[in-house]
Amino acid sequence: MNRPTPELEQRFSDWQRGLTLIDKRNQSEQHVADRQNELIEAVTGGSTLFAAYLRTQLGIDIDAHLDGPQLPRKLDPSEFRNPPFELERDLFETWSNDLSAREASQPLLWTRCHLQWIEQGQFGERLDEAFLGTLSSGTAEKQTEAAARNLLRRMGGLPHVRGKISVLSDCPLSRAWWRGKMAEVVSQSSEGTLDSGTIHGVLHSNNDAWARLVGDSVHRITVANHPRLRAALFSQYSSADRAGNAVHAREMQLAMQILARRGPALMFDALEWSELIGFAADAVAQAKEELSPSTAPADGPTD
Amino acid sequence: MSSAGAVPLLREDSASIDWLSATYQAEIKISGRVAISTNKLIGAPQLDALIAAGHVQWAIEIRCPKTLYARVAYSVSANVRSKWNPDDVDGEMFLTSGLVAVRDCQLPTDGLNDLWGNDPIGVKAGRWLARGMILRTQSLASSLLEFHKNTGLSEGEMRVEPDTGSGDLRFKVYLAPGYFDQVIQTNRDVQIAALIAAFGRIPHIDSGDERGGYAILTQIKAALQEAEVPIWGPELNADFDPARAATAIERFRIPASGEDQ
Repeated sequence: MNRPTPELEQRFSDWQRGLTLIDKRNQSEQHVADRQNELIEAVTGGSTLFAAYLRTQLGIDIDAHLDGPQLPRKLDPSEFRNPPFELERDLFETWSNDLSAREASQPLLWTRCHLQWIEQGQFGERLDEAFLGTLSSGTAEKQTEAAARNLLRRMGGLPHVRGKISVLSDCPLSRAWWRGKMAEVVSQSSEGTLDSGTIHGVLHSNNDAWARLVGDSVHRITVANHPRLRAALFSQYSSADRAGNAVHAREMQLAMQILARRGPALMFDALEWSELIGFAADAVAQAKEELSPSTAPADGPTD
Repeated sequence: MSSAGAVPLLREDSASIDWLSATYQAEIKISGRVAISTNKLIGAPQLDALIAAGHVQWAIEIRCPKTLYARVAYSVSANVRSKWNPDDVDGEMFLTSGLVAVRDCQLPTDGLNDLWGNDPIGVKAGRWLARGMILRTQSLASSLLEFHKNTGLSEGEMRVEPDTGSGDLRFKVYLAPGYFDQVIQTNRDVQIAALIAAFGRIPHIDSGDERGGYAILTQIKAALQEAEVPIWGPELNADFDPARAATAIERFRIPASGEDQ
Protein backbone atom coordinates (compact mmCIF):
# COMPACT_ATOMS: atom_id res chain seq x y z
CA MET A 1 0.00 0.00 0.00
CA ASN A 2 1.24 3.51 -0.75
CA ARG A 3 3.10 5.08 2.11
CA PRO A 4 0.80 7.49 3.94
CA THR A 5 1.51 11.17 3.65
CA PRO A 6 2.28 13.13 6.83
CA GLU A 7 -1.07 14.85 6.38
CA LEU A 8 -2.91 11.51 6.36
CA GLU A 9 -1.02 10.35 9.46
CA GLN A 10 -1.96 13.56 11.21
CA ARG A 11 -5.61 13.26 10.27
CA PHE A 12 -5.69 9.66 11.44
CA SER A 13 -4.21 10.63 14.80
CA ASP A 14 -6.60 13.57 15.15
CA TRP A 15 -9.57 11.37 14.23
CA GLN A 16 -8.68 8.78 16.86
CA ARG A 17 -7.93 11.38 19.53
CA GLY A 18 -11.19 13.15 18.80
CA LEU A 19 -13.06 9.91 19.50
CA THR A 20 -11.46 9.04 22.83
CA LEU A 21 -11.82 11.02 25.98
CA ILE A 22 -8.37 10.86 27.57
CA ASP A 23 -7.68 14.40 28.69
CA LYS A 24 -10.62 16.22 30.23
CA ARG A 25 -8.58 19.43 30.51
CA ASN A 26 -8.16 19.65 26.77
CA GLN A 27 -11.28 17.89 25.52
CA SER A 28 -14.92 18.69 25.95
CA GLU A 29 -16.80 15.56 27.00
CA GLN A 30 -19.81 16.63 24.98
CA HIS A 31 -17.71 17.19 21.88
CA VAL A 32 -16.14 13.74 22.14
CA ALA A 33 -19.58 12.20 22.77
CA ASP A 34 -20.93 13.92 19.66
CA ARG A 35 -18.09 12.54 17.58
CA GLN A 36 -18.60 9.08 19.02
CA ASN A 37 -22.30 9.20 18.23
CA GLU A 38 -21.51 10.37 14.70
CA LEU A 39 -19.14 7.41 14.31
CA ILE A 40 -21.66 4.90 15.62
CA GLU A 41 -24.38 6.31 13.42
CA ALA A 42 -22.11 5.86 10.41
CA VAL A 43 -21.26 2.27 11.36
CA THR A 44 -24.86 1.28 11.98
CA GLY A 45 -25.80 2.96 8.70
CA GLY A 46 -23.98 0.17 6.86
CA SER A 47 -20.79 -0.32 4.91
CA THR A 48 -21.39 2.33 2.24
CA LEU A 49 -22.18 5.07 4.73
CA PHE A 50 -19.32 4.13 7.04
CA ALA A 51 -16.78 3.95 4.22
CA ALA A 52 -17.82 7.44 3.09
CA TYR A 53 -17.58 8.69 6.69
CA LEU A 54 -14.09 7.23 7.10
CA ARG A 55 -12.81 8.64 3.82
CA THR A 56 -14.07 12.05 4.86
CA GLN A 57 -12.53 11.83 8.32
CA LEU A 58 -9.15 10.75 6.97
CA GLY A 59 -9.22 13.11 4.00
CA ILE A 60 -8.98 10.25 1.50
CA ASP A 61 -10.50 11.33 -1.78
CA ILE A 62 -13.64 9.41 -2.68
CA ASP A 63 -12.03 8.26 -5.94
CA ALA A 64 -8.63 7.43 -4.45
CA HIS A 65 -7.75 3.78 -5.04
CA LEU A 66 -6.71 1.74 -2.01
CA ASP A 67 -4.19 -0.88 -3.03
CA GLY A 68 -3.67 -2.83 0.19
CA PRO A 69 -3.44 -6.58 0.54
CA GLN A 70 -6.60 -8.52 -0.17
CA LEU A 71 -8.67 -10.61 2.19
CA PRO A 72 -8.80 -14.19 0.91
CA ARG A 73 -12.57 -14.33 1.39
CA LYS A 74 -15.56 -12.72 3.08
CA LEU A 75 -15.63 -12.86 6.89
CA ASP A 76 -18.68 -13.03 9.09
CA PRO A 77 -18.64 -11.02 12.36
CA SER A 78 -17.70 -13.99 14.50
CA GLU A 79 -14.83 -15.01 12.22
CA PHE A 80 -13.61 -11.43 12.09
CA ARG A 81 -13.56 -10.93 15.85
CA ASN A 82 -11.93 -14.25 16.56
CA PRO A 83 -10.57 -15.85 13.40
CA PRO A 84 -10.34 -19.66 13.63
CA PHE A 85 -6.79 -20.99 13.30
CA GLU A 86 -7.15 -22.17 9.70
CA LEU A 87 -8.42 -18.74 8.70
CA GLU A 88 -5.68 -16.95 10.64
CA ARG A 89 -3.06 -19.11 8.95
CA ASP A 90 -4.63 -18.42 5.58
CA LEU A 91 -4.62 -14.67 6.28
CA PHE A 92 -0.93 -14.65 7.17
CA GLU A 93 0.04 -16.74 4.18
CA THR A 94 -1.99 -14.49 1.89
CA TRP A 95 -0.27 -11.37 3.24
CA SER A 96 3.18 -12.65 4.12
CA ASN A 97 4.77 -11.23 0.99
CA ASP A 98 2.68 -8.07 0.90
CA LEU A 99 3.64 -6.52 4.23
CA SER A 100 6.87 -5.77 6.05
CA ALA A 101 7.16 -5.62 9.84
CA ARG A 102 7.52 -1.87 9.60
CA GLU A 103 4.28 -1.56 7.64
CA ALA A 104 2.44 -4.05 9.84
CA SER A 105 3.35 -2.05 12.96
CA GLN A 106 1.34 0.94 11.70
CA PRO A 107 -2.28 1.13 12.91
CA LEU A 108 -3.04 3.52 10.05
CA LEU A 109 -2.11 0.90 7.47
CA TRP A 110 -4.54 -1.59 8.97
CA THR A 111 -7.29 1.01 9.20
CA ARG A 112 -6.85 1.80 5.50
CA CYS A 113 -6.93 -1.94 4.75
CA HIS A 114 -10.18 -2.29 6.69
CA LEU A 115 -11.64 0.62 4.75
CA GLN A 116 -10.67 -1.13 1.53
CA TRP A 117 -12.19 -4.45 2.65
CA ILE A 118 -15.37 -2.75 3.85
CA GLU A 119 -15.73 -1.13 0.44
CA GLN A 120 -15.19 -4.50 -1.20
CA GLY A 121 -18.06 -5.92 0.89
CA GLN A 122 -15.81 -8.40 2.69
CA PHE A 123 -17.61 -7.88 6.01
CA GLY A 124 -21.08 -7.67 4.48
CA GLU A 125 -23.38 -4.68 4.69
CA ARG A 126 -23.93 -4.65 8.47
CA LEU A 127 -20.81 -3.73 10.41
CA ASP A 128 -21.97 -3.09 13.96
CA GLU A 129 -21.69 -6.64 15.26
CA ALA A 130 -18.16 -7.03 13.94
CA PHE A 131 -16.74 -3.66 14.86
CA LEU A 132 -18.70 -2.14 17.72
CA GLY A 133 -19.68 -4.95 20.06
CA THR A 134 -21.97 -4.13 22.94
CA LEU A 135 -21.80 -3.80 26.66
CA SER A 136 -24.60 -5.38 28.59
CA SER A 137 -24.36 -2.88 31.40
CA GLY A 138 -23.21 0.65 32.09
CA THR A 139 -24.54 4.04 31.19
CA ALA A 140 -25.31 4.97 27.62
CA GLU A 141 -22.24 7.20 27.63
CA LYS A 142 -20.00 4.35 28.75
CA GLN A 143 -21.45 2.03 26.14
CA THR A 144 -20.85 4.61 23.45
CA GLU A 145 -17.27 5.17 24.59
CA ALA A 146 -16.64 1.41 24.69
CA ALA A 147 -18.15 0.89 21.25
CA ALA A 148 -16.01 3.67 19.75
CA ARG A 149 -12.87 2.26 21.29
CA ASN A 150 -13.76 -1.25 20.15
CA LEU A 151 -14.02 -0.04 16.59
CA LEU A 152 -10.71 1.84 16.70
CA ARG A 153 -8.94 -1.11 18.27
CA ARG A 154 -10.44 -3.68 15.91
CA MET A 155 -9.62 -1.66 12.80
CA GLY A 156 -5.90 -1.50 13.51
CA GLY A 157 -5.29 -0.34 17.04
CA LEU A 158 -5.54 2.66 19.30
CA PRO A 159 -1.89 3.60 19.90
CA HIS A 160 -2.32 6.81 21.88
CA VAL A 161 -4.36 4.94 24.50
CA ARG A 162 -2.97 1.40 24.37
CA GLY A 163 0.58 2.02 23.15
CA LYS A 164 2.61 0.01 20.67
CA ILE A 165 1.02 -3.26 21.70
CA SER A 166 -2.37 -2.22 20.33
CA VAL A 167 -1.65 -3.14 16.72
CA LEU A 168 -0.18 -6.46 17.86
CA SER A 169 -3.07 -7.59 19.97
CA ASP A 170 -6.23 -5.47 19.63
CA CYS A 171 -7.01 -5.82 15.93
CA PRO A 172 -7.90 -9.43 15.03
CA LEU A 173 -6.47 -9.21 11.51
CA SER A 174 -3.21 -7.40 12.32
CA ARG A 175 -2.80 -9.80 15.24
CA ALA A 176 -3.15 -12.69 12.78
CA TRP A 177 -0.27 -11.27 10.72
CA TRP A 178 1.95 -10.73 13.75
CA ARG A 179 1.32 -14.20 15.13
CA GLY A 180 2.15 -15.70 11.76
CA LYS A 181 5.26 -13.56 11.48
CA MET A 182 6.46 -14.49 14.93
CA ALA A 183 5.82 -18.16 14.22
CA GLU A 184 7.89 -17.89 11.04
CA VAL A 185 10.82 -16.15 12.76
CA VAL A 186 10.77 -18.52 15.71
CA SER A 187 10.64 -21.56 13.44
CA GLN A 188 13.67 -20.34 11.49
CA SER A 189 15.60 -19.96 14.74
CA SER A 190 14.61 -23.23 16.37
CA GLU A 191 17.31 -25.40 14.79
CA GLY A 192 14.67 -27.38 12.95
CA THR A 193 12.77 -28.37 16.08
CA LEU A 194 9.58 -26.35 15.55
CA ASP A 195 7.55 -25.74 12.42
CA SER A 196 5.83 -22.43 11.95
CA GLY A 197 2.32 -23.93 11.72
CA THR A 198 2.70 -25.60 15.12
CA ILE A 199 3.97 -22.41 16.74
CA HIS A 200 1.22 -20.37 15.15
CA GLY A 201 -1.32 -22.85 16.49
CA VAL A 202 0.02 -22.53 20.02
CA LEU A 203 0.02 -18.73 19.80
CA HIS A 204 -3.51 -18.78 18.46
CA SER A 205 -4.77 -21.01 21.24
CA ASN A 206 -4.02 -18.59 24.06
CA ASN A 207 -4.82 -14.93 23.56
CA ASP A 208 -3.74 -13.93 27.06
CA ALA A 209 -0.33 -15.51 26.68
CA TRP A 210 0.07 -13.84 23.28
CA ALA A 211 -0.78 -10.43 24.72
CA ARG A 212 1.65 -10.97 27.59
CA LEU A 213 4.37 -12.22 25.30
CA VAL A 214 4.25 -9.35 22.87
CA GLY A 215 3.30 -6.78 25.47
CA ASP A 216 6.35 -7.43 27.55
CA SER A 217 8.57 -7.78 24.48
CA VAL A 218 7.52 -4.33 23.35
CA HIS A 219 7.45 -2.54 26.68
CA ARG A 220 9.89 -4.05 29.11
CA ILE A 221 11.68 -7.27 28.26
CA THR A 222 13.12 -6.40 24.88
CA VAL A 223 15.78 -9.09 25.21
CA ALA A 224 12.96 -11.59 24.63
CA ASN A 225 12.89 -10.46 21.02
CA HIS A 226 16.01 -12.47 20.25
CA PRO A 227 14.74 -15.05 17.77
CA ARG A 228 16.72 -17.93 19.30
CA LEU A 229 15.64 -17.10 22.84
CA ARG A 230 12.06 -16.82 21.74
CA ALA A 231 12.38 -20.13 19.90
CA ALA A 232 13.72 -21.81 23.04
CA LEU A 233 10.92 -20.34 25.12
CA PHE A 234 8.39 -21.51 22.59
CA SER A 235 9.81 -24.94 22.56
CA GLN A 236 9.03 -25.15 26.28
CA TYR A 237 5.69 -23.41 25.90
CA SER A 238 4.68 -25.79 23.15
CA SER A 239 5.78 -28.99 24.89
CA ALA A 240 4.07 -27.94 28.13
CA ASP A 241 0.93 -27.27 26.12
CA ARG A 242 1.08 -30.72 24.52
CA ALA A 243 1.64 -32.32 27.91
CA GLY A 244 -1.52 -30.68 29.26
CA ASN A 245 0.47 -28.41 31.56
CA ALA A 246 -0.03 -25.18 29.61
CA VAL A 247 2.08 -22.14 30.47
CA HIS A 248 -0.34 -19.44 31.55
CA ALA A 249 0.05 -15.77 30.77
CA ARG A 250 1.42 -14.78 34.17
CA GLU A 251 3.83 -17.73 34.14
CA MET A 252 5.01 -16.74 30.68
CA GLN A 253 5.64 -13.21 31.88
CA LEU A 254 7.62 -14.37 34.89
CA ALA A 255 9.64 -16.84 32.80
CA MET A 256 10.58 -13.99 30.47
CA GLN A 257 11.59 -11.84 33.42
CA ILE A 258 13.76 -14.67 34.77
CA LEU A 259 15.45 -15.05 31.38
CA ALA A 260 15.88 -11.30 31.03
CA ARG A 261 17.76 -11.22 34.32
CA ARG A 262 20.40 -13.40 32.65
CA GLY A 263 20.67 -10.92 29.78
CA PRO A 264 23.55 -8.82 31.19
CA ALA A 265 25.76 -11.94 31.32
CA LEU A 266 24.49 -13.94 28.36
CA MET A 267 24.34 -13.29 24.66
CA PHE A 268 21.43 -15.59 23.88
CA ASP A 269 22.22 -15.51 20.19
CA ALA A 270 25.57 -17.25 20.72
CA LEU A 271 24.55 -19.92 23.25
CA GLU A 272 24.54 -23.59 22.31
CA TRP A 273 20.96 -24.59 21.48
CA SER A 274 20.86 -27.30 24.12
CA GLU A 275 22.00 -24.88 26.81
CA LEU A 276 19.52 -22.25 25.69
CA ILE A 277 16.70 -24.80 25.87
CA GLY A 278 17.88 -25.64 29.38
CA PHE A 279 17.69 -22.01 30.45
CA ALA A 280 14.21 -21.66 29.00
CA ALA A 281 13.06 -24.87 30.71
CA ASP A 282 14.48 -23.67 34.03
CA ALA A 283 12.77 -20.31 33.66
CA VAL A 284 9.39 -21.87 32.91
CA ALA A 285 9.74 -24.36 35.76
CA GLN A 286 10.78 -21.63 38.19
CA ALA A 287 7.90 -19.42 37.09
CA LYS A 288 5.41 -22.25 37.55
CA GLU A 289 6.89 -23.04 40.95
CA GLU A 290 6.81 -19.43 42.14
CA LEU A 291 3.25 -18.92 40.97
CA SER A 292 1.96 -22.24 42.18
CA PRO A 293 -0.79 -21.78 44.79
CA SER A 294 0.97 -24.21 47.09
CA THR A 295 4.20 -22.20 47.16
CA ALA A 296 2.76 -18.71 46.97
CA PRO A 297 3.08 -16.99 50.36
CA ALA A 298 -0.19 -17.10 52.23
CA ASP A 299 -1.75 -13.93 53.50
CA GLY A 300 -0.71 -13.79 57.11
CA PRO A 301 -2.31 -11.90 59.94
CA THR A 302 -1.70 -8.19 59.98
CA ASP A 303 -0.42 -6.30 62.97
CA MET B 1 18.98 -26.40 37.32
CA SER B 2 21.48 -25.26 34.67
CA SER B 3 24.18 -22.92 35.81
CA ALA B 4 25.03 -19.85 33.81
CA GLY B 5 28.69 -20.40 34.79
CA ALA B 6 29.78 -16.95 35.93
CA VAL B 7 32.67 -15.39 34.03
CA PRO B 8 34.45 -12.07 34.61
CA LEU B 9 32.85 -9.17 32.80
CA LEU B 10 34.69 -6.04 31.75
CA ARG B 11 32.14 -3.27 31.71
CA GLU B 12 32.40 0.04 29.95
CA ASP B 13 30.93 1.83 32.95
CA SER B 14 33.61 0.27 35.24
CA ALA B 15 30.84 -1.02 37.49
CA SER B 16 32.44 -4.47 37.71
CA ILE B 17 35.44 -5.19 39.92
CA ASP B 18 36.39 -8.38 38.07
CA TRP B 19 39.26 -6.70 36.25
CA LEU B 20 41.90 -4.77 38.17
CA SER B 21 43.05 -2.27 35.59
CA ALA B 22 41.79 -3.29 32.14
CA THR B 23 39.39 -0.91 30.46
CA TYR B 24 36.86 -1.18 27.68
CA GLN B 25 35.33 1.62 25.66
CA ALA B 26 32.75 1.40 22.92
CA GLU B 27 31.40 4.00 20.57
CA ILE B 28 28.40 3.35 18.36
CA LYS B 29 27.62 5.59 15.44
CA ILE B 30 24.50 5.32 13.36
CA SER B 31 24.33 6.52 9.82
CA GLY B 32 21.09 5.85 8.01
CA ARG B 33 20.46 2.13 8.31
CA VAL B 34 23.98 1.20 9.38
CA ALA B 35 25.46 1.07 12.88
CA ILE B 36 29.19 0.91 13.41
CA SER B 37 30.66 0.15 16.80
CA THR B 38 34.28 0.97 17.49
CA ASN B 39 35.68 -0.98 20.43
CA LYS B 40 38.79 -0.24 22.46
CA LEU B 41 40.19 -2.83 24.86
CA ILE B 42 43.20 -1.91 26.97
CA GLY B 43 45.13 -4.02 29.47
CA ALA B 44 43.56 -7.44 28.82
CA PRO B 45 46.02 -9.30 26.58
CA GLN B 46 44.36 -12.68 27.24
CA LEU B 47 41.14 -11.36 25.66
CA ASP B 48 43.15 -10.14 22.66
CA ALA B 49 44.61 -13.64 22.39
CA LEU B 50 41.17 -15.25 22.51
CA ILE B 51 40.00 -12.92 19.75
CA ALA B 52 43.03 -13.84 17.65
CA ALA B 53 42.30 -17.54 18.25
CA GLY B 54 38.69 -17.09 17.07
CA HIS B 55 37.11 -18.07 20.40
CA VAL B 56 35.78 -14.62 21.11
CA GLN B 57 34.33 -11.98 18.76
CA TRP B 58 33.18 -8.40 18.88
CA ALA B 59 29.43 -8.09 18.62
CA ILE B 60 26.82 -5.42 18.16
CA GLU B 61 23.27 -6.15 19.17
CA ILE B 62 20.33 -4.18 17.79
CA ARG B 63 16.78 -4.27 19.15
CA CYS B 64 13.68 -2.53 17.91
CA PRO B 65 10.83 -3.24 20.35
CA LYS B 66 8.06 -1.84 18.16
CA THR B 67 8.64 -4.45 15.45
CA LEU B 68 9.83 -7.18 17.85
CA TYR B 69 13.20 -7.07 16.09
CA ALA B 70 16.52 -8.19 17.54
CA ARG B 71 19.68 -9.10 15.65
CA VAL B 72 23.39 -9.51 16.37
CA ALA B 73 26.38 -8.97 14.10
CA TYR B 74 29.84 -10.35 14.90
CA SER B 75 33.34 -9.51 13.77
CA VAL B 76 36.93 -10.34 14.66
CA SER B 77 37.67 -6.70 13.89
CA ALA B 78 37.19 -4.11 16.64
CA ASN B 79 35.05 -2.16 14.20
CA VAL B 80 31.75 -3.98 13.82
CA ARG B 81 29.28 -2.95 11.18
CA SER B 82 25.64 -3.93 11.20
CA LYS B 83 23.09 -3.03 8.58
CA TRP B 84 19.37 -3.51 8.97
CA ASN B 85 16.54 -3.66 6.52
CA PRO B 86 14.42 -0.51 6.94
CA ASP B 87 11.32 -2.68 6.51
CA ASP B 88 12.18 -4.51 9.73
CA VAL B 89 12.42 -1.58 12.12
CA ASP B 90 10.42 1.45 13.10
CA GLY B 91 10.93 4.05 15.80
CA GLU B 92 13.27 3.80 18.73
CA MET B 93 16.11 1.27 18.75
CA PHE B 94 18.49 0.01 21.42
CA LEU B 95 22.09 -0.93 20.61
CA THR B 96 24.79 -2.61 22.67
CA SER B 97 28.28 -3.68 21.74
CA GLY B 98 30.85 -5.87 23.42
CA LEU B 99 32.94 -8.98 23.33
CA VAL B 100 31.24 -12.38 23.27
CA ALA B 101 32.55 -15.93 23.51
CA VAL B 102 31.46 -17.72 20.34
CA ARG B 103 33.12 -21.02 21.33
CA ASP B 104 33.91 -22.66 24.61
CA CYS B 105 37.35 -21.51 25.78
CA GLN B 106 39.63 -20.94 28.75
CA LEU B 107 40.36 -17.49 30.12
CA PRO B 108 43.66 -17.03 32.00
CA THR B 109 43.22 -15.05 35.21
CA ASP B 110 46.10 -12.56 34.81
CA GLY B 111 44.89 -9.07 35.61
CA LEU B 112 41.73 -10.32 37.29
CA ASN B 113 40.67 -9.76 40.86
CA ASP B 114 42.17 -12.41 43.18
CA LEU B 115 38.69 -13.74 43.85
CA TRP B 116 38.92 -15.50 40.49
CA GLY B 117 41.89 -17.60 41.70
CA ASN B 118 44.79 -18.76 39.58
CA ASP B 119 43.29 -21.47 37.38
CA PRO B 120 42.01 -20.54 33.93
CA ILE B 121 38.26 -19.94 33.89
CA GLY B 122 36.08 -22.06 31.65
CA VAL B 123 34.01 -19.81 29.43
CA LYS B 124 31.14 -21.29 27.46
CA ALA B 125 29.87 -19.90 24.18
CA GLY B 126 27.35 -17.10 24.61
CA ARG B 127 28.95 -15.30 27.54
CA TRP B 128 29.62 -11.60 27.38
CA LEU B 129 33.24 -10.89 28.35
CA ALA B 130 33.13 -7.14 27.77
CA ARG B 131 29.99 -5.12 27.46
CA GLY B 132 29.21 -1.53 26.57
CA MET B 133 26.38 0.61 27.75
CA ILE B 134 23.06 0.51 25.94
CA LEU B 135 22.64 3.22 23.37
CA ARG B 136 19.10 4.36 22.88
CA THR B 137 18.55 6.01 19.54
CA GLN B 138 16.98 9.39 19.82
CA SER B 139 14.81 11.20 17.39
CA LEU B 140 16.79 13.43 15.06
CA ALA B 141 15.24 16.50 16.65
CA SER B 142 16.32 15.61 20.16
CA SER B 143 19.79 14.69 18.89
CA LEU B 144 20.11 18.07 17.28
CA LEU B 145 18.81 20.37 20.03
CA GLU B 146 19.92 21.03 23.59
CA PHE B 147 17.86 23.43 25.70
CA HIS B 148 19.37 25.80 28.27
CA LYS B 149 18.23 28.69 30.45
CA ASN B 150 19.85 32.05 29.79
CA THR B 151 19.45 34.95 32.16
CA GLY B 152 20.67 37.39 29.52
CA LEU B 153 17.45 36.97 27.57
CA SER B 154 14.25 38.88 28.23
CA GLU B 155 11.09 36.92 28.92
CA GLY B 156 9.80 35.20 25.80
CA GLU B 157 13.07 35.49 23.85
CA MET B 158 14.99 32.62 22.29
CA ARG B 159 18.51 32.28 20.89
CA VAL B 160 19.86 29.34 18.87
CA GLU B 161 23.59 28.75 18.47
CA PRO B 162 25.52 25.95 16.76
CA ASP B 163 27.88 23.90 18.89
CA THR B 164 30.40 21.46 17.44
CA GLY B 165 32.41 20.84 20.59
CA SER B 166 31.39 17.16 20.75
CA GLY B 167 32.70 16.54 17.22
CA ASP B 168 29.17 16.43 15.86
CA LEU B 169 26.80 19.31 15.31
CA ARG B 170 24.25 20.30 17.92
CA PHE B 171 22.33 23.49 18.48
CA LYS B 172 22.12 25.07 21.87
CA VAL B 173 18.75 26.67 22.35
CA TYR B 174 18.64 29.39 25.01
CA LEU B 175 15.40 30.54 26.61
CA ALA B 176 14.78 33.12 29.33
CA PRO B 177 14.60 31.24 32.68
CA GLY B 178 10.94 31.92 33.48
CA TYR B 179 9.83 31.02 30.00
CA PHE B 180 12.07 27.94 29.99
CA ASP B 181 10.38 26.64 33.17
CA GLN B 182 6.95 27.30 31.74
CA VAL B 183 7.29 25.68 28.37
CA ILE B 184 10.13 23.20 28.24
CA GLN B 185 8.16 20.16 29.42
CA THR B 186 4.83 21.05 27.95
CA ASN B 187 5.07 23.15 24.83
CA ARG B 188 6.18 21.12 21.88
CA ASP B 189 5.68 24.05 19.54
CA VAL B 190 8.56 25.92 21.20
CA GLN B 191 10.82 22.97 20.50
CA ILE B 192 9.73 22.92 16.88
CA ALA B 193 10.29 26.68 16.61
CA ALA B 194 13.84 26.08 17.81
CA LEU B 195 14.22 23.28 15.29
CA ILE B 196 13.13 25.59 12.46
CA ALA B 197 15.64 28.19 13.63
CA ALA B 198 18.36 25.54 13.74
CA PHE B 199 17.51 24.37 10.21
CA GLY B 200 17.74 27.98 9.07
CA ARG B 201 21.37 28.02 10.17
CA ILE B 202 22.42 24.67 8.72
CA PRO B 203 23.25 25.99 5.20
CA HIS B 204 25.73 28.40 6.78
CA ILE B 205 27.46 25.56 8.61
CA ASP B 206 27.34 22.69 6.13
CA SER B 207 28.07 22.98 2.43
CA GLY B 208 25.89 19.98 1.57
CA ASP B 209 28.96 18.32 0.08
CA GLU B 210 28.73 14.53 0.28
CA ARG B 211 32.29 14.26 1.63
CA GLY B 212 32.84 14.63 5.33
CA GLY B 213 30.50 16.85 7.26
CA TYR B 214 28.65 16.12 10.49
CA ALA B 215 27.14 12.70 11.10
CA ILE B 216 23.79 14.05 12.23
CA LEU B 217 23.44 16.10 9.05
CA THR B 218 23.98 12.94 7.00
CA GLN B 219 21.05 11.37 8.86
CA ILE B 220 18.91 14.45 8.41
CA LYS B 221 19.65 14.61 4.69
CA ALA B 222 18.72 10.93 4.32
CA ALA B 223 15.45 11.50 6.18
CA LEU B 224 14.58 14.57 4.08
CA GLN B 225 15.42 12.81 0.83
CA GLU B 226 13.18 9.92 1.84
CA ALA B 227 10.38 12.39 2.56
CA GLU B 228 11.11 14.10 -0.79
CA VAL B 229 11.72 17.43 0.91
CA PRO B 230 14.40 19.71 -0.64
CA ILE B 231 17.69 19.79 1.24
CA TRP B 232 20.33 22.51 1.40
CA GLY B 233 23.11 22.20 -1.16
CA PRO B 234 26.66 23.28 -2.03
CA GLU B 235 25.15 26.24 -3.82
CA LEU B 236 22.37 28.26 -2.30
CA ASN B 237 19.30 26.12 -2.86
CA ALA B 238 16.28 28.36 -3.22
CA ASP B 239 14.01 25.33 -2.72
CA PHE B 240 15.39 24.65 0.74
CA ASP B 241 12.82 25.84 3.23
CA PRO B 242 13.93 25.53 6.88
CA ALA B 243 10.33 25.41 8.13
CA ARG B 244 9.33 22.68 5.66
CA ALA B 245 12.45 20.65 6.39
CA ALA B 246 12.18 21.01 10.18
CA THR B 247 8.51 20.07 10.26
CA ALA B 248 9.16 17.09 8.00
CA ILE B 249 11.45 15.82 10.77
CA GLU B 250 9.19 16.82 13.67
CA ARG B 251 5.68 17.88 12.87
CA PHE B 252 3.41 20.32 14.64
CA ARG B 253 0.39 18.61 16.10
CA ILE B 254 -2.69 20.50 15.11
CA PRO B 255 -6.11 19.65 16.59
CA ALA B 256 -8.75 18.61 14.12
CA SER B 257 -10.99 21.35 12.83
CA GLY B 258 -13.61 22.20 15.41
CA GLU B 259 -11.96 20.20 18.13
CA ASP B 260 -11.69 21.89 21.52
CA GLN B 261 -8.23 22.94 22.68
